[in-house]
Amino acid sequence: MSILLSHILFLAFGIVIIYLLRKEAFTGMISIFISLASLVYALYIISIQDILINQKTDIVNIIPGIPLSFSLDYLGVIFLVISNGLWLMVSIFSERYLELNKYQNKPKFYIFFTLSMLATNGIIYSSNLLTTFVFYEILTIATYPLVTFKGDKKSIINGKKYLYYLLGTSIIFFLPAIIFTYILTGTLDYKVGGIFTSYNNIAIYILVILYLFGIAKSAVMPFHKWLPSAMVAPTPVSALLHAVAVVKSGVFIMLKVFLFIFGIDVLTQSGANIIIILFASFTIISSSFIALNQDNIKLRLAYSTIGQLSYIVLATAILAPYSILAAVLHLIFHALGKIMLFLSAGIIATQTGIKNVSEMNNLSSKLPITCLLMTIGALIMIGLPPTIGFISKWYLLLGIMESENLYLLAVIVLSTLLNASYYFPMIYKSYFEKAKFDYKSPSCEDMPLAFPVIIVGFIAVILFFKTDFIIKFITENII
Amino acid sequence: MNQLPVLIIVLPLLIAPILLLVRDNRYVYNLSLGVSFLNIFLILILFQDVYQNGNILYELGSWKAPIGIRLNADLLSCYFLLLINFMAFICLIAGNKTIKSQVEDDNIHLFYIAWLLCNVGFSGIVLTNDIFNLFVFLEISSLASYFLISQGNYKASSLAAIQYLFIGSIGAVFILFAIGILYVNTGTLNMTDLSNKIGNGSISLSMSLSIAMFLIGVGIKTALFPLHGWLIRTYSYAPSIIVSYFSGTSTKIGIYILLRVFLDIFNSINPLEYYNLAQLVLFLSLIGVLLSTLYAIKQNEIKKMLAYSSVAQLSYIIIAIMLLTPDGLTASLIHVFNHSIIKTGLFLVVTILFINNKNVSIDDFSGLGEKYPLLMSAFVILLLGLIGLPLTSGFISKWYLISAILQSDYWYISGIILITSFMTFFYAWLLIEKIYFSARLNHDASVATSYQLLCVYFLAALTIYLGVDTSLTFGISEQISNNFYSTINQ
Repeated sequence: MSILLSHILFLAFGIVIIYLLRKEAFTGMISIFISLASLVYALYIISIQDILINQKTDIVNIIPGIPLSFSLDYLGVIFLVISNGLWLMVSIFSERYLELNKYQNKPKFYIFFTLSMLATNGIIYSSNLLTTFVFYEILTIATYPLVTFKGDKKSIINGKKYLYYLLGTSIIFFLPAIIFTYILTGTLDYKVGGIFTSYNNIAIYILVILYLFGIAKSAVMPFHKWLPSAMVAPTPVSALLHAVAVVKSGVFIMLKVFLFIFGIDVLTQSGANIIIILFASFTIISSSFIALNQDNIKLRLAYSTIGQLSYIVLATAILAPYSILAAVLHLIFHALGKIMLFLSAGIIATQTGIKNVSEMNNLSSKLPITCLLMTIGALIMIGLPPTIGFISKWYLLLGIMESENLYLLAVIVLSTLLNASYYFPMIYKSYFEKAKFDYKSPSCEDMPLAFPVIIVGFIAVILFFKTDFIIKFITENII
Repeated sequence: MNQLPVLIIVLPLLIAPILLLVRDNRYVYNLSLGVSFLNIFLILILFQDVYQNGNILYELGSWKAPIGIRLNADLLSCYFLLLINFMAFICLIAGNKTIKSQVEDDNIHLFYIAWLLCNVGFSGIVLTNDIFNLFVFLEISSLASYFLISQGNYKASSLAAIQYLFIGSIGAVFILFAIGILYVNTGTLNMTDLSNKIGNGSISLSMSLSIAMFLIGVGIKTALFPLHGWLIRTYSYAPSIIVSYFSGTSTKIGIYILLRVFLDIFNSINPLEYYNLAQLVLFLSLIGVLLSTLYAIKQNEIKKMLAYSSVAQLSYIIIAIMLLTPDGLTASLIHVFNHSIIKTGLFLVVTILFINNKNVSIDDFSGLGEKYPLLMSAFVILLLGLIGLPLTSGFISKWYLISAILQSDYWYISGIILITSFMTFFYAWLLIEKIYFSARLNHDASVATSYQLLCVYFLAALTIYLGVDTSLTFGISEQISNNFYSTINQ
């Protein structure tokens, strides 16, 4: 049996185990174990990637001629490490987090959490668009119980919005796009250089728009509203799923569709990439403006995510080698940075009850480590050295120069300024502004809760000095 | 000569009067269950035979057609035959308890007899090669249906039955006149013969009258918009188990007649294309899809909601046929099968949970997810199938429907189809939200027997199975539609 299939089956088996042993006490431990094993799987798969690359495993023919099929590609390798590695960190975090926040019904949480990760891994392994679509929909359905986990009225309303946006766009845009692609090309397999041999421009324009709207998980405006609504979920969900697994699946699929379905040549020759660039630029700027006005920390982070995702989409759509490098790098770096920010927000809310930026005054005296981690995360988002965010932004700028779309520099500069202006208040307030009231205990850092975040922060800092191996991997294999 | 086609009709027909003598409810039930099980067995053998060796013709009493009556089992017949008898069997298993509590004791054996006769009628319609016999079988099934519907314990049940009787009869009269005109024009009633005699010539006035009458008659049977009113009333007031049964069979028979008449008998003159009839019906159905989906969202009563949903789904099937392409026909046949299983499953859940409730509203599902975790999971799977999410059979239907529309001349309607298909999600989600997020209401849902539960699980499992392995639905459908269109193109 193929190792990729066995990874997915292992996760399915894990879900069954959690269900069978549904005890509040140790489902968390089981889940940590499953995520650890999944990471080991991922690392093992990567260690033998040379054998696995582009080797297809067909499972079952859903539609005659289009099987459910798994394979590994180099883009997948990168996303695989990121998602499974961060999953382990977040499951360690969520065990403590659920306990401190007194959440009930942990087995349900972990079952759907694992199912979401199963779907994410399924998306990574998909070797054709139909398989991707199947797991894309599973991911939507699996995250719904997590978004509505609190079960109160607000989460039900937001959960509905979440589903309406994600399912609606996938049914109305994504599915017909896939079918239309199949009718035009007779295949749905991802292929380096694209699958369109002959095409007319109008069909390509229509398809690009359908994919852009259809893959709403990448939160390109105007179908981005689901992401802020998903913020009612418990923090680990927002952190892993709505900063890494779900949204990165969106941009990951987008990357694969642009590079391996359309292909760079088709997009540049038809000029369809301009459409993507316009939508992405608009999203980058307007989401930053909206983020400025959000007082709720998680909502501010959510709008920041929307902007950052469009960076990746924009970088891909520029289609220059450097910009594609930037897109892949940013996929990794944004994941690391945003998860730190979300988890820090979770720690802050858990330990102090603070949920708004305006209440963050002098928080650093109370949560020194958390505030430091948050600062690193924020610097990554803004793209300042010495953080990894700077590296991806650097290559993005190089890519823009290379492609001679110089007006995009203005977009990047403006959005960087905006990013800075909604992240700096958080840093400034927590370090330099006096609190309105004195905290009783000087520090209430909870080490078990902060531990996984510290590890992520450590990796993020180290990576700045050691990015060359990633860049080498990407330039050798993907571009 | 292969005796199977006639056995499938005669066997239940013979058992029915015996039941009248037996009268004891328990034996009556077991006998009807037995005979319908036997029928499925026979159909499977027949199906395999037809699949491997092609059509099986059976001359009743060895009188040669066109003088004698002939049964014709081709793939299309077998496909519908299997579907109908399978649905009847499932509903019989699940229905026992419900029938006991809903139908008066004295009537129970009559109820089963009517059920068997109704099914004989359906089987006869799909097997016969004689168009007048088709009408006779249609009447047999209709008459039995009137009785079945009237046994609902609503005040409006008898009224619904009478309405069904009137409207059904009007439909039947149209079909009868159409057949009469055909007979006057060609002097034959045998379908194969008719098809040959109609030939390639131009369409005469009387022939076009016949075509129009067929269309209206069949339109009533298939609940073609705007002739769908009876379906809503019937589904709301008939005994729930009969609704489960009809939702998978009775309207599908209408689809069968439509296919048989317009694509088989009239195939050489292709009336659907000739008068732009296809276009007319297609746009009517499109309006039907839109309106009935909207109505379904608005309904608070679940049977009405599912009934409107049925009208919408039937309209999808008709739209797919009216594309007049092989792909369209394939899509419609796939959806006939998938939709029957899903809708029957959904109605069965309503049936077994709410034996005593007359008007089951959405609120009655509040909090049932906690009480019946497994049954509700099956229900949700069926609902997801109705929405058409991947890995359910509904997705397969949707894929082929959209694919067929995009490749036809009517590609521009795909947007409306997609949006309505998303709107299905609106009303399905209302239910799912109630099931999992609302506090439980006090009134008790009735306790389901394990047989009933098994039926629902089985249908839910089939919904997933047919969404993963499409060799039955797609394989057969594609072959049927290729057969049809290759003869048309000749």
